[in-house]
Amino acid sequence: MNPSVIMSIRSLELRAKLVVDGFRTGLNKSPRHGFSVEFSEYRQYSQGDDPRFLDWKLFARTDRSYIRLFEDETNLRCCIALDISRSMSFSSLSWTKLDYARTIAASLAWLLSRQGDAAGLTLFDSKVRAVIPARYRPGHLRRLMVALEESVSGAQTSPAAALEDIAQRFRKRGLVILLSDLLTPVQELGDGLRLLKGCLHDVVVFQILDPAEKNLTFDGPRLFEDMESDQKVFADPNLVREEYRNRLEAHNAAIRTECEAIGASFRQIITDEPLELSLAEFLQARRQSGSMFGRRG
Amino acid sequence: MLELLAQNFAIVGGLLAAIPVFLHMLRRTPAARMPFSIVRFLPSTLPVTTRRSRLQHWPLMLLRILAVILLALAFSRPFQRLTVERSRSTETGRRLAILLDGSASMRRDGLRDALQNELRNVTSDLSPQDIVSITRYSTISQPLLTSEEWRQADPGSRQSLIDRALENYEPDWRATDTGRAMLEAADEVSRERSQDSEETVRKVIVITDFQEGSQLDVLRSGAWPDNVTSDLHPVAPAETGNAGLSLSEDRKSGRIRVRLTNSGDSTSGQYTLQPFDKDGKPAGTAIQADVAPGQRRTLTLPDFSAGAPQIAGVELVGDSHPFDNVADLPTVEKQVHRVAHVGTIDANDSETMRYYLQRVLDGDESEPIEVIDLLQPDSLAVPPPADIRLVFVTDKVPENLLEPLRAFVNRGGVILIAMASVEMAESVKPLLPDLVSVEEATVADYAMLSSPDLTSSLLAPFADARFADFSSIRIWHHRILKMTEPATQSKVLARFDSGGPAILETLNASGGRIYTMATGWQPADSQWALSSRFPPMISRLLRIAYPKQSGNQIFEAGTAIVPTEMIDGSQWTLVAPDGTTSSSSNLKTPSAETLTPDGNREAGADKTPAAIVLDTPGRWRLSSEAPEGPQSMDLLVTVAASESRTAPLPRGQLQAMGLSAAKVSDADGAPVNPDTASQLDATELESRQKFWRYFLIAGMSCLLLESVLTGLLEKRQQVASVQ
Repeated sequence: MNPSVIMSIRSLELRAKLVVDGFRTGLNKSPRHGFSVEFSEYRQYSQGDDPRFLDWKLFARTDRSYIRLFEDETNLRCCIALDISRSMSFSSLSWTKLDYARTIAASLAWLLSRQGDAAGLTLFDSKVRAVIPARYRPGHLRRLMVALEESVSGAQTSPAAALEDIAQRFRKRGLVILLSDLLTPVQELGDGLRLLKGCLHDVVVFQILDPAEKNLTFDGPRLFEDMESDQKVFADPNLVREEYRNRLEAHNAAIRTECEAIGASFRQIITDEPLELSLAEFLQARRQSGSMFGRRG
Repeated sequence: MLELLAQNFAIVGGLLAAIPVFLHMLRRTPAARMPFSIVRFLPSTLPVTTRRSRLQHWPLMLLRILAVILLALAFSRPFQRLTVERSRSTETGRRLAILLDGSASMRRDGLRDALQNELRNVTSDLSPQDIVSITRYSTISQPLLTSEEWRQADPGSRQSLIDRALENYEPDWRATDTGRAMLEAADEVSRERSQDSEETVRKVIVITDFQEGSQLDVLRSGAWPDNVTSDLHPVAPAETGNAGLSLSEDRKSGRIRVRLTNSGDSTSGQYTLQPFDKDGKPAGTAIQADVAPGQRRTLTLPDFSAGAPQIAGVELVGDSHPFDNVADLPTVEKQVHRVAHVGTIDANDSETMRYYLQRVLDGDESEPIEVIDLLQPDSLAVPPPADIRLVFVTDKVPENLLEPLRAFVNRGGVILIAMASVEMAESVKPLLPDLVSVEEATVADYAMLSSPDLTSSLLAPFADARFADFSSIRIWHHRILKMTEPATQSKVLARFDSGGPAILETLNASGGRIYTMATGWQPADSQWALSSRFPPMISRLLRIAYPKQSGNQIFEAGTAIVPTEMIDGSQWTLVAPDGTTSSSSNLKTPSAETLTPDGNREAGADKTPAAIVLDTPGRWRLSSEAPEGPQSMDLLVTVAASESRTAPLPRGQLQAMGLSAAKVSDADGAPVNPDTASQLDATELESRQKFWRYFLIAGMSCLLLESVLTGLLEKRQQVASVQ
């Protein structure tokens, strides 16, 4: 679906529903075994196991002690970290990068919620502005949507602080999705991501860029004023476009390399791309990588 | 050709006009601004700037320069010299209203002569076409020569009119109100415009000592008519400096304090306050008072009332101008009254009249009354002391006491005689000229009082119908008084029911009174002493003998008072410091002017005056015959404190008050500095022409046009940048 159609919808919740409906998703099974209704597999009894879960019938038949394992119903814990810094409010289209990122975050939350996974949200700019812990309970999705809708752009980007905060709050192993334009020093970003990986989290990084940011599609000389600092540069885009692209590509490549080195997934999304396509590509990539997200799709 | 009054503004404006030129040369090509998120990856390119020698938006620049120049010109107060106006005005006559200051401060030595010289100087160059009026002013204005008299007089005899006005000039004791007098004169002069030519020069000339106490604030009101100029001629006294006294009341303690004002041009700051007695002789100890020049000091004087001689006032010693150096102080009446009694000494015998009299006199604790017996135990008779004003006679009077009692009545004393017996009545007969004979009455059962004269001062407290019944008083024994027919000095205030006089009032020519009762008040004679009518009657007698003093009030000279509002009773008497008397029946006196309630003087004095002007400083005494007894009060009149501030005001004070056209000439008639005169003429021309208004409007229009143009240009640039 054309992103302009989806972005023209006012309700974030409805936008997310449309995006999610746009592609079929498989249910992901829990990577861990818990105690619920659905049987998963047997495991040989070892000392310390709860004897309540011993399969007595099997013991009668085989004279061996086996434990029945069941699937955990709430299995994936996901934290979406959304950058709400001032640079995210840049737009050459009729929607800003923040609008676009917000829709992706809402779609992911909707998707996770439908799968029975716990989703949380962290809004940050130079520091963490709002935190909603990962939960799976009635009304939680609504709470996430409201927090996303009410988010306004703040100050400078600094994901390192936000990632460190997430690492501290989000102790159980899970998935961290970072939505940002990543206009921050690579080293700083790498440190934050490394911290998360150190906590055994799976990390997915979405870089949201505007088409004008990517290709510098301006015409005529003008004074460019930085949205997050006092920096002003007078430039003629026609003259500097090539060099700009090279610099941006170098930055993005450095991030990609860093992510790969750390083991985090990296995906660049341009805001004129269809939203569900971005998600589908991402899910595909996740499947191929054999990650737990969509492992049994 | 335009000239400028404030050329500095024009110079500054010229310099400021260069700023727009500079700014227009300095401006660079405006670059479109673009908020961007990834500026740090943008390589910078050098902006293309326009050459500095090239001016951009030159119509805008011209507009800005024009606006600055026009505004600077407006502030420079431009005017155009018109010579035609002046030459024409000298051909027609001038209308001169001359104001002579007649306030109390003009009583200083040398001022009167200076004022006369100045007036002669002012009127020396009069032409036959000129019209002059002369008015003396203080807080009120008094015309000495009206313009009508001037017009009607033969041109040759007009100088004599001025001389006559000078003869009639006499300063009063009032404060100065120069501003009001000038405004009144200016109004009068400007009102005459319709009769005369439009080109007449109208001028208000003020000859005054121009002291600090002159009230000029009213000139700030801006009510000064156009085309009327003012000309100030200050005069100076022979000796500068002055200190004066005035009274002020301490509201907290109710005591009156003396305020000492020293004018700013005084050379001395040390003065002495010398108290004086009723006769004006120095009494008590003098007080040293130090007041720096230009300062005021309020002094609480020591309590003089305790001293043996009564202090009537204080005089300031050490000041060269005596017009404001005396302040009369309130006299405090002794609070303890004494009355005398002729009769039994024993106050504890309930069969005697003295017993009941003592009970009544002891009843009032707020006004303690001491009874002195004139008949001593050893049968010696003592004449009534000088401070006693009431004597009760209840027994036979020895012959040697008759003469002192007569003298007592002659000096205004009051005697109450209760005739306890015929023998006793015979003994007082020489005091009662209308009494022919006295007999003992034969009373069958009892007698009663009838037909009391409730309008008389003695029985006035019983005038209300609730108290007018005397029938409860039964009289067992009384005397029959036979009077001369007709009685010349006596008046019957009440009779017995048999028709004989019961209470007589005998008035003396000097104000003394004798009240005679034809019966006693002891139980053997009547129920008088036991009735509720007895104490009010005795206290009424006391009030008649000792009139109530209503306290003192302080006024400035020139204050108009309404006596009936200040004191009870319609019959009042006002005694001025110089002894002249005005009263409700005798209206016209030399010192009291009758005024209508709105303050205007009334031509005829045959109507009851609503107000009396206290025009002389000193002690005025107001007394009245009120229904509840005689009253009196002291009105302490002093020269206004503002009159003591005699330091001259600066010459430019009238200009400061907003009279831009005021001219000031020196007291000695020295010519005005020609440069100053030229400057004043220019000011006058500028204030009439008011060209600055047109320059201001033009400047503001330029700025408005510039704003519109700038707005249009910016809009065009925005459109261009979007495209």
